[in-house]
Amino acid sequence: MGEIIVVTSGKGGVGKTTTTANIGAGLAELGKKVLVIDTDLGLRNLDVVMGLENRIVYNLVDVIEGKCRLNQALIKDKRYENLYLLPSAQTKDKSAVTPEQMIKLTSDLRREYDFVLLDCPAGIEQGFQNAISGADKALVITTPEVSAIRDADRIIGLLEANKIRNIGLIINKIRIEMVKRGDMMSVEDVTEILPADLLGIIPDDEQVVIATNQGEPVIDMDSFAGQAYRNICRRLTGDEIPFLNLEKSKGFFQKLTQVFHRN
Amino acid sequence: MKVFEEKKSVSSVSIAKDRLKTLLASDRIKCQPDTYDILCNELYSTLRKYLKISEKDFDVKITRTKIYITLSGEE
Repeated sequence: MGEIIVVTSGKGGVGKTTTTANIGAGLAELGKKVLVIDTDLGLRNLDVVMGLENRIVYNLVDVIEGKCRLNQALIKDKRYENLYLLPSAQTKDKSAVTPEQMIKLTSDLRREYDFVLLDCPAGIEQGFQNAISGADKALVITTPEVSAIRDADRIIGLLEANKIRNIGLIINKIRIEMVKRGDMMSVEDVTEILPADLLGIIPDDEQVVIATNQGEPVIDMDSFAGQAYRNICRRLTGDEIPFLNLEKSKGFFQKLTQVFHRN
Repeated sequence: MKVFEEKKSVSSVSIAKDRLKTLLASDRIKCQPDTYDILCNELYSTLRKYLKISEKDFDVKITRTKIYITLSGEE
């Protein structure tokens, strides 16, 4: 039986979609059969981040309304054999799907896949309720900013109120040089405030922007953020991996990319 | 001496953490932002009637299910 994991944050722009795409790719790389679902109705994005936007025929709403079979709507990833995308509908709104329909869909998918990742829309409206309704577990993404942390705290409260107690916290876009100056909250500052177990820390890395431009996963690149995502995937599959030392590896990768740029 | 103290800037992280503390407390117990400060002051003035405590060693932390009062500064 597979695991249904919702990727959520409350605030927009903190990296939910990028995280869903990369954890999906990372788990597939570990040999797991993975389905990623874009649940943001009306604002389809996950397909673009994964570089699969030209292959969409049917979508999540078509499947739920019975306009097609599930397998007709699934898009197979370009690089990973066992990674699939169920895209969102661009022309529907949040009310086209109900939590009951999502519970039914995810319980069917659980039999087929090792991991089903649901990319949740920003906010706490019906789109959020739909995305969390079938989930066993949640990944809460935040950045070291007051607004993102506040929203993450509300999301954690709402998840607990909905009986989702297995919550992994991912702190994204950390800039170690700012942390050292006392101008950005550290990982410890954030974990002290938020009542969830830390699952991963991801540095603010230019490679993420480059990978997203290309519609490729950053885990394939020799990047610091890619390493952070690969570590998260291994933790999700049960391995105990220490957290990255942001300071050390930064210097190493910077030197490494400098070498590549010179050649 | 005073000039020196005024010049010393507070790190933006400590401002962020203070703001978050108040914000999250009011979000968690669904009250006005200043209710947290009022609550802390009233708790402090009540406790000091019975205990020998100073304001700088007194801290209140609010989660969704519990209110922690810390006297030493450490939990």
